[in-house]
Amino acid sequence: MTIKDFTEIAGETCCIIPMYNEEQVIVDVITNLKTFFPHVLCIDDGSSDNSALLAEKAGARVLRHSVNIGQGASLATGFQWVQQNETFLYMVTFDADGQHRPEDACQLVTELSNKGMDVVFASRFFEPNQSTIPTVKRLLLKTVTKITNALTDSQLSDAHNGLRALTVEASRSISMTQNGMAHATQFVSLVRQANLKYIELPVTVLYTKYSRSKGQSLMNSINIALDLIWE
Amino acid sequence: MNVQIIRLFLVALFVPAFIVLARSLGARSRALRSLLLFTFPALVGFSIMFPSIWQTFADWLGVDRGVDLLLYVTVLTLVTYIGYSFGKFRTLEKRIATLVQELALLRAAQENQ
Repeated sequence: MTIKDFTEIAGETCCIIPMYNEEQVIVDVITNLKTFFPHVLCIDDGSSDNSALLAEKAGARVLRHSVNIGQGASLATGFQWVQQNETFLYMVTFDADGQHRPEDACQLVTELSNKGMDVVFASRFFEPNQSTIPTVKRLLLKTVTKITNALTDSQLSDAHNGLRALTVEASRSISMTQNGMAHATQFVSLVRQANLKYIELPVTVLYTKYSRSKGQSLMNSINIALDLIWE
Repeated sequence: MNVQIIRLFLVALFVPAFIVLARSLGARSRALRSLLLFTFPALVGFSIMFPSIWQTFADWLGVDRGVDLLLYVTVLTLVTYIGYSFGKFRTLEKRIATLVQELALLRAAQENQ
């Protein structure tokens, strides 16, 4: 297998950003991503602010949900759009709150391509990493990961990281029905069910005041558990 | 001892009944729920007219007091309807999500043309 440099595959990659009321940071996030990824797709999930307009001005392709239906549904819309577009071989999911680094996304896609993987998960707990994760958040994420691993028979170190890369072909076997935040657990489960090849890579998650305010709360983890049970 | 067995039987019967009624959205369970909905006010009227009937049912089922049986039936009915409404709400949410997603993709396709 020929080892490829990221610049060779950047044009075949679409970066998908689910977005909901992110006007404070979305321009910076897209501007930074555009220095690496020529194709950035934002799914505006019924934002009531100017996120969609700003994302478009920053150079992203924007798909609009008429009403807010959840992050999982936004990713599913993004997957479908990319699947319909013959330009792409790879896709990366990227959070809109600025907590991910574009260079980590590049690394994920490069490894995906060069190692012949179907999916590459990003992990903030996989050594070495420089993420300074708040203690409560760390405990919560570790618990969620343990539950996800138990439910999906997998051994990931970070199951709810919004940064992940996958091939378009692999995305066709991942049909997400969880519209809310429980999609992350369902994603792992579908990867396992479809027997897709996956690896985990260390990434750095940047915890700013803004990203912390947008992150998942303890109460939301109860909603995730209920969504999974009811499904 | 017999009373305990009857009570356990009642609980064992109520749990699957609740799950079937609350989760299923098919025509048969919908008809059952409608019947329950109309039966409930009738039962209320009947209870007012003949309060002692609950004690008779309670004696048959091994429940101490008629008022306790009435409470169990009321709670079961309410919880079933809450569960059903929750299930129905989730189904509607999923349907709306599918519509919203298709609309977003259609608009994108139109913009490309």
